[in-house]
Amino acid sequence: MAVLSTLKTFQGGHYFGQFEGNSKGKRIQAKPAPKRVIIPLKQGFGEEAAVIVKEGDRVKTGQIIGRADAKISTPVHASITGKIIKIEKRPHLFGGQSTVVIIENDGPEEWQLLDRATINFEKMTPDQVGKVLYEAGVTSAGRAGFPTAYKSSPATPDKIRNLIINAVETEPYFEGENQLLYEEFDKFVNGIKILRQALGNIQVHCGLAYNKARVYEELVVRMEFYDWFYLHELRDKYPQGDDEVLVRTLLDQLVPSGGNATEIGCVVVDVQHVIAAYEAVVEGKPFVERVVSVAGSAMQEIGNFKIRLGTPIGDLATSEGPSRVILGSVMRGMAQTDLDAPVMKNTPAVIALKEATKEFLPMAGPGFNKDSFTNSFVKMPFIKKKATTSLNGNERPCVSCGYCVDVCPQSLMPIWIAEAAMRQMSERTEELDILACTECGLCSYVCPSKIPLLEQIRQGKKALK
Amino acid sequence: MSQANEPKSLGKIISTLIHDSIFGGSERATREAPYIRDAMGMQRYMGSPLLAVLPATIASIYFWGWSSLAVIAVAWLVGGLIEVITATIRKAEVTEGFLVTGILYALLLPPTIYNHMWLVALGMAVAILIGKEFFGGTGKNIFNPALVGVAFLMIFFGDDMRSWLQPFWGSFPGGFTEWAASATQLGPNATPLLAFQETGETPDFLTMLIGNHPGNIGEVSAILLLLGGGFLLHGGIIDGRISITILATVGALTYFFNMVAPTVFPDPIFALLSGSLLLAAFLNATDPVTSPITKRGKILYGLLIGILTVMIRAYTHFPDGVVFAILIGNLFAPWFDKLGKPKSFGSAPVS
Repeated sequence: MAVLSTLKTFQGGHYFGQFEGNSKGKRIQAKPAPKRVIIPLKQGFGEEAAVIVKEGDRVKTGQIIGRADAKISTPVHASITGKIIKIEKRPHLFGGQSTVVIIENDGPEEWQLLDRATINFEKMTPDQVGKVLYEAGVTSAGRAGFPTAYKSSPATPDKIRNLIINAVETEPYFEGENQLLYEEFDKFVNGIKILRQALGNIQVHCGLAYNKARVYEELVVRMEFYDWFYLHELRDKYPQGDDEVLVRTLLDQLVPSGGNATEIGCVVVDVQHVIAAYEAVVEGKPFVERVVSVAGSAMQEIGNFKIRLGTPIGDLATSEGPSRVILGSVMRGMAQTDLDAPVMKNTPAVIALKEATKEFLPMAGPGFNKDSFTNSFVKMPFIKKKATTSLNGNERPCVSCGYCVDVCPQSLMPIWIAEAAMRQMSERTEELDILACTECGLCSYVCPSKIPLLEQIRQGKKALK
Repeated sequence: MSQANEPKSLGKIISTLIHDSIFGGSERATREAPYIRDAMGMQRYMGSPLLAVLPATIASIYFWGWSSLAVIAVAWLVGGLIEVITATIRKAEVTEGFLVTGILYALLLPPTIYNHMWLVALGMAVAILIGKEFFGGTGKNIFNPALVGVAFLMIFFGDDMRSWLQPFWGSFPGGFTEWAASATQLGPNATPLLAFQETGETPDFLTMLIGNHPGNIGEVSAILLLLGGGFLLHGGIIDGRISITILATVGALTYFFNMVAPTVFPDPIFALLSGSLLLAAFLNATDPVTSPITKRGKILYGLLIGILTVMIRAYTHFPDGVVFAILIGNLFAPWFDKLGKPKSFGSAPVS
């Protein structure tokens, strides 16, 4: 293996402080199977799967309930044992409608494991591994799916030259996958080998946050004899984990605007998906549960939990007082008013933030517990930063302070794009490369005039379609 | 933004102003992602320059007496009045910008201006009304409003803008018990730059650093302005690409030209510490609205202002060229932005 020991990072970006109510360092606990799960048939990447069960059917944990082998998709599994009480259309988290299957738990758990589980995965052909990953539902991981011969991604395995492991989680409150690295290190190492097995003879690049010395040392020892493995140490600056930024930092290659990393021969996967691949191939366990950070300033029971997919967030979020529950990232996710919104394959966290309250003269004072892109507040490393939904200021016209330009990891001009988008000047937005935006949300975050730049840029992108 | 477009009465505007100055918009909540926002708001952003010039302002009371504070008060009063009136007409919120404009404008006036308070009021009205509001209000103006006001007075009321005084110095409380420094203060009343143009002599380094020489209200004390500038640079409120480039350009150019023509160009240290260069480089040139937004554009802008400052000082009858250099720089800012637009990290689609 090659250890690339220079600490790498990228231009722009922002180091978040530790926010109050995060689950850093909390051991992963398994939550018992919930009473009821809501499983959308569109999960992660890919098109919606066709339902293959009926209302009233009894399903086992891990049984496939939806698949569409002809389309670019991945099978969907039941995540608990029980009776299907309803199949209906519901608004999907990312827009549009999706069929959901609602299963009610009825007592003792029965697993339906994959039949080809083996520890000798190194003897399997890429096709065999790919089939297991597909059947286990792991292939919907990542932004463009994991390529196999089973139409799980628009790309095919022979086009892929690099597998990139994203082991640098920099979003506020996303601690679950960091914890997985420590607790399931063995599965992680073997999972990498399995994923490589599925893609053939390729190189694997692992981007690891520099503050994980123990994982780093163990990886160096375990992967020493594999010349295809490259270990990169990265600064934990947000948004280092974005596909575009990660590929650029590790390989010095640019991802096409509006495209994804598979177009230049790279597949990017998260730690959770590496571990799911191991569990599928070696233990025969389909991807029906994942680690979720349940955290936030308003969350009562904070921790990293193993949670069945489809668990409604109402079962997890036990917040106190007025709060906002967010499924996924506080930077780019969506606040949920419907507590039936389910945890999905790409949901690393469920976060509850305190609502904004009146503060006396908030603009004065040293602000020990305030996070800011500027250096204007006194930085205290041991004080956790305050996290509420407060705008921390009034909406004002843009004064061209340039913070959005400084912070943009894609080297764009966020305010120009947003202004053009608001005027419906779609040619201008294209000229400014609006599609290269990864929607990290930092421009909105840093804006002292509190202009909703991310929202405006998203509208501009919609206008282009 | 939506709030700014709602029709509002004068009473509503004033009550919003008072409420927001106390709570700083802290109870306003995010409506869309990202749900958490940076703690930096416009109030702190606009308050930081005020804090940065506070030492220089206090020193100005010591140097020139309480009349210098009265000049600032008049500027704020007139600026605030115009801001409230235009906000009523525009049915928008009152923004904080006039406080910064007012103090930066007042600090660039000569200490004898208190004899003509109507001039202070007129200049401020020109600064806010013509310099800012006629262009569409906060964020839309092309020229730095404070400098528009100062330049207006320099052109039309040149004599009143050129009557300087020797400051109080050497004793305490100095100006803290006086209304104004009087003409009885000993010594010639020309600023160091003017004296250099006329006689070719420059005061010693320590005098330039402390500021016990004639000059405009807030520009004399180099050390306190460096302190304020350092505060802004460290806080990330202003961009060093502008300030440092201006100072480096002026320093480097005068260093070389001084070797060629020492009677026209002073030595670089004197050039850097004299006139309103430090005040302007840290506070006027870095005005975010009128300076470029791109990183490369900022450097070009700093270079242009530096070159123009040196040239105007040497070859025009204005002893201090910074005000005009920055106004010309403002004119070029959009073009520098066009030149300095960064290349995005998105590549063309793979065919």
